[in-house]
Amino acid sequence: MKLDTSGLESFAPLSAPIDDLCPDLSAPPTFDLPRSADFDGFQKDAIQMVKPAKGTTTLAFIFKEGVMVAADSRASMGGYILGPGLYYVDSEGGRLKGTRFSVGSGSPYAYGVLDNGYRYDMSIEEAAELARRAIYHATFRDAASGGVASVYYVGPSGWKKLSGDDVGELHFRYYPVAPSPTEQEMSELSPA
Amino acid sequence: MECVFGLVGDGFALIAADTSAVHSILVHKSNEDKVMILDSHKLLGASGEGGDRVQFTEFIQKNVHLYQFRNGIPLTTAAAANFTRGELAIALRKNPNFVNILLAGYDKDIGPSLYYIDYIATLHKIEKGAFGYGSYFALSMMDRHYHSGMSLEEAIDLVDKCIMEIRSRLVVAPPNFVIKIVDKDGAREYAWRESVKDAGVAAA
Repeated sequence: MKLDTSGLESFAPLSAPIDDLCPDLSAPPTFDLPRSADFDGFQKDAIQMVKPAKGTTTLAFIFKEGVMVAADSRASMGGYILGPGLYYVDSEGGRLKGTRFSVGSGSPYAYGVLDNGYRYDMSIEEAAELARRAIYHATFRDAASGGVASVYYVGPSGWKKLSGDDVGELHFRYYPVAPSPTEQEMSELSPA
Repeated sequence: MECVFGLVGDGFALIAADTSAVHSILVHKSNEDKVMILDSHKLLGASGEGGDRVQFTEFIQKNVHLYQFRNGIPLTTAAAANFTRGELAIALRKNPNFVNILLAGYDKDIGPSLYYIDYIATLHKIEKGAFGYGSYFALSMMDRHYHSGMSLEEAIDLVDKCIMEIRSRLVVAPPNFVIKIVDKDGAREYAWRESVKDAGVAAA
């Protein structure tokens, strides 16, 4: 049986044309690569980065400076984040391309905070704080989410872990406890 | 809650679909394009479960392209519809695809046509059709106002009537719709009908 290799035939000219008459003819399609010395390693590292960050509230969004990724640290589920774009992929074969996603049992809580605070042109610090806050609020309301809120930034020169805060600590940072009057009075009593 | 509906007019066929990507109570995306451009003169509007819609429709699209690469000529709309139905039928008793499809196309000597293909591999050539909860409203609207040989203006007006009815009467109505058209000049996007804009969209 003769093998059908017609699909391998290329219609592009064998060598680049020298003349200026058809400048666009043999220009191969191109796309931007991340500015990193080790492109294959960058892709692999991006996958490794997501593995330990398995949480039940995971979110990621695209903004002006790149991609922000955040997750809590409790068991199961996880979004698969890929390259400079952002895709939501699930175990049923669903695939969505978008700018903002959250997955897991705590995701509805995270979506609310994320959607409300989102702007495309945020700085990296603003975007990280938005991601952190959204995870915190989800861990507050969802019993199955909690632990540590990890925030990662993915940009043209690779990924970087920005923070890993215990959500219990975040709670008192966002909502500090004012000392009650009785305690203050007691500390003013001089010893007899 | 996914709605897809379509009709055949004078020298063209239209397909409209909602653009929400929903997971239980969450709307993940409100600008998801569910009407695929199958080839230069064919549209495939699909509604169905999770991965099945994207995976099955892309599979059909790539096979339609492959036929054209191998043979140098495109498939007719009828051939593409029968191929799609065949694939659904083969998979039905093993790993069924829960996708409902409206396939619209324009063939040079035949004109515009619309095919109804449901998830259990039923195939019908039709003038107007609809899938999803929205079909309860769209079908009667189309039955009342449709006539064969409608102009583009009349057809878009009918599509808008259906969308308004779905928006006002369906309990969890999708806010946004996309309308695509296929005629002698090819398959292309005609319009979006948006009542909720995605915040801070950077052309995803």
